[in-house]
Amino acid sequence: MSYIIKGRTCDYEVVIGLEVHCQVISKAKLFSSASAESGGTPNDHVAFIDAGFPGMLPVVNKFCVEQAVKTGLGLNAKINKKSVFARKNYFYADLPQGYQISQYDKPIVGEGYLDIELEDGSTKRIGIERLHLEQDAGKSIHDMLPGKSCIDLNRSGVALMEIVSKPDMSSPYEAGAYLTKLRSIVRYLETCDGNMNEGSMRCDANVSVRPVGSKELRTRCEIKNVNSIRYLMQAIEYEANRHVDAYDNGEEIYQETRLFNANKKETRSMRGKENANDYRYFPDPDLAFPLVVSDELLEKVKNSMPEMPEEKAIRFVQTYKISEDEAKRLSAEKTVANYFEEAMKEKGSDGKKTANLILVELAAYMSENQIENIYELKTTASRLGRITALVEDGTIGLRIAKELLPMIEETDKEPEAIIEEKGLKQVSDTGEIEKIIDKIIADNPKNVEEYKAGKEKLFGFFVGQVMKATQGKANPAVINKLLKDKLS
Amino acid sequence: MADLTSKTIAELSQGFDNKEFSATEVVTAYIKNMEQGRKYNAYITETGEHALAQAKDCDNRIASGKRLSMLDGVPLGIKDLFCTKDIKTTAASRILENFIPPYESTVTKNLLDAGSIFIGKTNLDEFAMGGANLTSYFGQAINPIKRADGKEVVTGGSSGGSAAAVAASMCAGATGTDTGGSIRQPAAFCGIVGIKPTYGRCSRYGIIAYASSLDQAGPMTKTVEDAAIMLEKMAGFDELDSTSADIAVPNFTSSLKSGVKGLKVGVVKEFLNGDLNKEIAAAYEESMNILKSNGAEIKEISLPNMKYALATYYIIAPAEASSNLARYDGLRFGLRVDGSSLDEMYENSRSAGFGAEVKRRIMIGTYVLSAGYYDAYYLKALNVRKLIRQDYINAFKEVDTILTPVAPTTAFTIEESKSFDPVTNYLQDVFTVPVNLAKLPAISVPVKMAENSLPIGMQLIGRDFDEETLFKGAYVLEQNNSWSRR
Amino acid sequence: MDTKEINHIAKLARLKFDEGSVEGITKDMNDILKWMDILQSADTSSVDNNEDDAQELRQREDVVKISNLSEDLMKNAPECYEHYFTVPKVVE
Repeated sequence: MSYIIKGRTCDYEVVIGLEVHCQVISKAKLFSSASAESGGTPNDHVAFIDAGFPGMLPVVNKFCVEQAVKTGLGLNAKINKKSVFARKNYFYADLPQGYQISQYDKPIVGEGYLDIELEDGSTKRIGIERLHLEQDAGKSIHDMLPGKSCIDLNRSGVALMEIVSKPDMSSPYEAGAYLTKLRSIVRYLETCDGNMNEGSMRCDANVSVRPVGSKELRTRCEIKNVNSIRYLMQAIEYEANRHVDAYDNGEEIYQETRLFNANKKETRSMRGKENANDYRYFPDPDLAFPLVVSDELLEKVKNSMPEMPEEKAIRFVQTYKISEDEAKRLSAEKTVANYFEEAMKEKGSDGKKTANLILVELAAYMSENQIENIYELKTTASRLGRITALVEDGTIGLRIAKELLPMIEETDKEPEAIIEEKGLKQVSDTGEIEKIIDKIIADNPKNVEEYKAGKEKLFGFFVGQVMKATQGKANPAVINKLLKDKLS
Repeated sequence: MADLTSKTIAELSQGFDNKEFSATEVVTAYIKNMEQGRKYNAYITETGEHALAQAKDCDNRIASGKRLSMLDGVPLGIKDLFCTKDIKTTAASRILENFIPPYESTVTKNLLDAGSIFIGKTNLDEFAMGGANLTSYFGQAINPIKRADGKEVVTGGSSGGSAAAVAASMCAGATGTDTGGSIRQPAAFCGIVGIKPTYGRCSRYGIIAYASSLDQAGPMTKTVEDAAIMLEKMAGFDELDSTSADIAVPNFTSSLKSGVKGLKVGVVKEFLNGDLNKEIAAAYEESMNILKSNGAEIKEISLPNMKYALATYYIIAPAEASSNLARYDGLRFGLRVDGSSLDEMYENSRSAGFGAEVKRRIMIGTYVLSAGYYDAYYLKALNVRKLIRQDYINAFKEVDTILTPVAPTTAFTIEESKSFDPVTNYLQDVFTVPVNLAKLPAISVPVKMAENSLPIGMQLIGRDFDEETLFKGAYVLEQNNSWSRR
Repeated sequence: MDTKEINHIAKLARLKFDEGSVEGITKDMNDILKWMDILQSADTSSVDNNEDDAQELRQREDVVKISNLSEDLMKNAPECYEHYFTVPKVVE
């Protein structure tokens, strides 16, 4: 099910490569001992080197190096024993040194890959070209003073990992899946918090199109700073169609940088970029020696690698007796996987039911209410675990369990308290249920007749009627048994 | 009391120990000299008051017999390229005319911790780019030594203010920095001693950068012994500088006077057979003879790639400088000349803030790094730099130190100097530049008075981190030459 | 190098040469670059780019040592507003 854009002259396929900037989780900045924390009073987390003061010198942060190595291993990539920091020279208001310390021809991490799942459930391998360490820039605020831009350097010098993919993606969906997977990996590794809306993960997309079957690479455009996965997919879709329209009309596409406008859902050319930049990369003489990843460090990082999504899914299937699909979906996000396991720590909780409540009920609730992190729910992992335990021991029915969730979200009360308060306990008293069944059989002679004549589907109708009459509190197992007896 | 300002650092230290005079008296005498010597324009900023306040503390320590080091109470001039906390630091540039660093460079901090007193910030070529101290925004420094014909001559550069200040006894010693000869050549022109230590020996933290892979701080003093005393305190590992060497600083003063018996001294075939100025050649010969007569063995060696050194230097240094000086953009500190857009503000500030030579080097540096020229210029220069270092490494298999002149001529007059085109100016650095490229240590010591009565300096180049040998050799040259006996 | 190229390099370096000085800098640059041509005759084929540099980059611990500097940081600023440096408005 490949993604094809029908042009007037021919059909086109899309070629996409992504450059993702991930802010490294660390206490201090990449080359200074100022805090890497975001926010706070402007220009407060700024060492003199982060502001490019005369005579100030960089010394690299060991932990940031470890984080890059860890991420490299998470991307199945080659870790380069020796890498080199280089200066990328350009002038900008929030680039205090007049250059960014980055890595150029010798990055710390070389080729790797990650696997994404396509719409049809199949897997596609996306190549990683490289990962390198570099400094983040400060922030310019343009709307605070008339005629002026205000510069805050708190972010200046924070460590970034730039992760460059190969141009291996061929649809907006694949790009979205890649970014989702990448975010999941860095979150698993705790090397980046992956929050795109806060800018700690930023994505640039290189997009071009070509006639289906052709191997050429046509002129690409770079779409800058797309700050959500949804926008990324929209931006690529717009951009690819723009290229197709241009080629259809016999026009050319120029290599340029474009910005995505989320309101109009279109990309536009960035102004003032007509002078193609000449970055004059050269090895940074202040960091003259090679950055060495020792065997000891590599070994240490390898040993500290957490369980990754694929491994976790396999363990979930074995430990909690859930399906492979459920396990994969639960482990896609580290927070969700942790939540699930926490819920499973509750005595008597059930894997299948817990998985189902998370993946169906809670997922729907979160998406409706735009909640990103499952830990923000009032339905804590412990509460959810206890709910499934209550279902397991017959205290409540599954239907009640599902109904409990929005109530907890609304009231922040313990499930046991709500059950008590609202009398939601399951009825397993055979006598009481028998009476209700007798009444239903009496009220629906036609259906009874049809059922007995072989229309077995009607069994569900009777169950439903009993449930309705008991407001869902009747124990389904009891209903089933009694109904079968009475209707035979 | 004899003139306190004629004393060496070693003599001052002894005098303090014997309580012959106080630090306040010494500082007062130097302040007087500094005021009388203003015609030399050696200082950009005088910090006499500050120095007197420091002297009080020194005197307390002297009184209690708890001097911090031999430098305790010694007044020093500090090249205005070292950031000094709360003291204006300009790099002799308009762009930093009013810059007051909120931090102290490691070298000056080390000197302060040793108890030394700063009496002023010395003049230099703008951002240390120049060889005659003519590019300073604050005007040229003038050599206290006059030529025989009475004409004023240049101090050399870039550490010209430091050299003049020491030569005119306007401080007991001074700091300099040397990127392509900026300590050694002005030392030679002003008849004093200067050492550029091995790259990595002194921390670069807080020194305003010219070319990071070449810059190195060092002392400029009246005597070899004083240079050893100062370097011991200036040097040392600094975790704030990634290129600082984690190697212990030896006690230079203790081995200083142990002589050169058995020392193998290389003299350079290419220079001997080249077109050396006659007087310089004679001084070269004389220096060999001094070392030889003191027991050293003279050996001819070859440095075949020296002919490429200048071009290599004038690619690498400007390339690094073009990037190092990008931070002077009028935004966070320094001169701002407004414009209607950010780019215009950059261009206005930088064009007004930098002088002609600095702009020239930024232009060269930008060019050699730019797309299409990187390989032919910058990358080629990096490779030739390796050849040059290899030449020395090969030579040091045969000899312990290498003797060469410091400069191709004695100091020129200011008029002569101003008439030079850039290339002629760059040629002055022919003997000094290769040492920076190879990151080796070298000491400059005056050995002879030329017919024009100006000093001629010789340099001894050493193996990595072997400044000890240089001090020994230079001490022998100093004790036995005709300049010292003038 | 001609004036056009000089102006391009000047632009990259955020320098400006007016009518009066552009000729001078053009001549200087050409003289200097010509003089540098000697390098092309240097035989660098023997230089080993993978030469094992015994030294490696020193790394520091991930410790925060500096905070709340903004006052010291702004002291030298030609122009600022509250805790911000300010510049002529940047249009993206």
